[in-house]
Amino acid sequence: MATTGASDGASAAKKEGLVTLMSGDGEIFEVEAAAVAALSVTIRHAIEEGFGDRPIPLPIVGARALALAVEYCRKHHSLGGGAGEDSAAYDDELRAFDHNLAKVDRDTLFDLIEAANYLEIEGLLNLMCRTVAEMMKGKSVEELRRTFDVSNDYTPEEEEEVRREVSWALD
Amino acid sequence: MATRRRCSAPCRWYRTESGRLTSRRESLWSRFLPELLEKVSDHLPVRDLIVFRQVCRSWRAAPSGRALITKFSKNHRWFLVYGRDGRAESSNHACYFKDPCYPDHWCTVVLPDLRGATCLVSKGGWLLAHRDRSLFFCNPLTFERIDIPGYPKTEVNERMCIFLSSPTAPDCIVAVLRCVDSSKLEVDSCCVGEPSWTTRLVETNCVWSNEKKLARICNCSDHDPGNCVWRKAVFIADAHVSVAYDLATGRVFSWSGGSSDMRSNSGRSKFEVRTESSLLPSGTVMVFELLICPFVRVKGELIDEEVAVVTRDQGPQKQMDKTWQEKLKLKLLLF
Repeated sequence: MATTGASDGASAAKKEGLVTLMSGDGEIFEVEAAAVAALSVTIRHAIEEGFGDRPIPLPIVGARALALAVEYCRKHHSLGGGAGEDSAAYDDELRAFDHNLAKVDRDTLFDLIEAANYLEIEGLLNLMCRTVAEMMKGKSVEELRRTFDVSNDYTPEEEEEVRREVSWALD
Repeated sequence: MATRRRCSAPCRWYRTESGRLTSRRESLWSRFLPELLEKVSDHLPVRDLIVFRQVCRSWRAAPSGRALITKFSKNHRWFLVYGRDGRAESSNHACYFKDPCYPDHWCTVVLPDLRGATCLVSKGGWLLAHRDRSLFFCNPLTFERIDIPGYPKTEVNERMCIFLSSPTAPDCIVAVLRCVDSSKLEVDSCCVGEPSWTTRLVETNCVWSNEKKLARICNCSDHDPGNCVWRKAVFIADAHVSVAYDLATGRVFSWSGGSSDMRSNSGRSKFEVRTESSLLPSGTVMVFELLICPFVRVKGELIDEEVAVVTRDQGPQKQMDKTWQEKLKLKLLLF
């Protein structure tokens, strides 16, 4: 990415139409303000509040997730699909882009959801949540616990109640 | 259980060996924000949602519009209220399930498929809906969708719609009917498995008392299709005349006598009524589905019926909640 690179944010020369983002782990991204502001509510507000000429700190967004989120904003902004898949401009190219973006590993998926939530990029958040849901479909409880590395913390009594719900569904 | 771990571990950021910023201790996913868990679970079909809620406490504690769904009675048909947020800019397309037995049991379900669509008829958990010159099936429980492309008419408002079995069955037929005049029907039909629509003009050899008010359309229940010779027929009746039209063979039978006679002739049947109601707020469309048991043949009266309603409402929710059931009751008395 030509406009993305780690550099000293404080001394980075301000370029026309660019905005500087700083990830939670301290990486600096110089990105087109129009693209990210169009898709990210958080960054739009930061720019409106005068953050445009100094790095915008994004404390809970890691560099890798931020890079992917920025890529999403660029692509969707350039193809006019800002409103996500409900938009009329959501065509085959954007669909293919989204499809590829969603092929990340589970931990990156997790980071991307948190990033999209923090940055308020609705289309990206929706895409990633749907991707996780697709991974969950058809799995058993044990498979879900294994896949997402979550342990069972129910008491036996609670588990009994939960089992009743399941029998309702299978009935 | 040997250990009890809480899912809401405090978030602390640190670098992994690969240099990634993470708060991972044991699992990222057990400390997922509740509102994000909600967004994920909204995409899950009911069955998967229930499994999801079984995984751990924090997943179960996360908000869900369908948290109450397992409290719903399976012995009654549910209502689905849709079309409240028909605005183009709306992003969540919320619909509502309602258990008729429990006034307090509401579930919110996100159904983007129904945005801007009109539900025509419901059966076996499936909705047949219309939008932008196309008909499609949509299942609000499993989120499955089956498109029926190429519907030749631009609108379906004045037409009666029916489908003969579950749309997942290979021989499911969809029929759209309209009265051309007091004795002729125009029937568009299509097999869901191989969608190509045919239109037929059917002479019924009877005279409707009022062709604008053909009250009932039904076909034999798919509970025991093997025993019913009318399996691929639709029945249409007003108060005085009944017609059976067999979609497979094109045969027509008509007889005088209104819908009560039709019940006794068809045995266990499903009656579906589509009506515009003047009692509900403007823009409201309701679909009634009555299940009538064979007992009616013996007793000559309705002793058991179930009703499913799909209503489209554009009024404010509060108003609707208060008056809805009353109006519904009133409307049902009319049939």
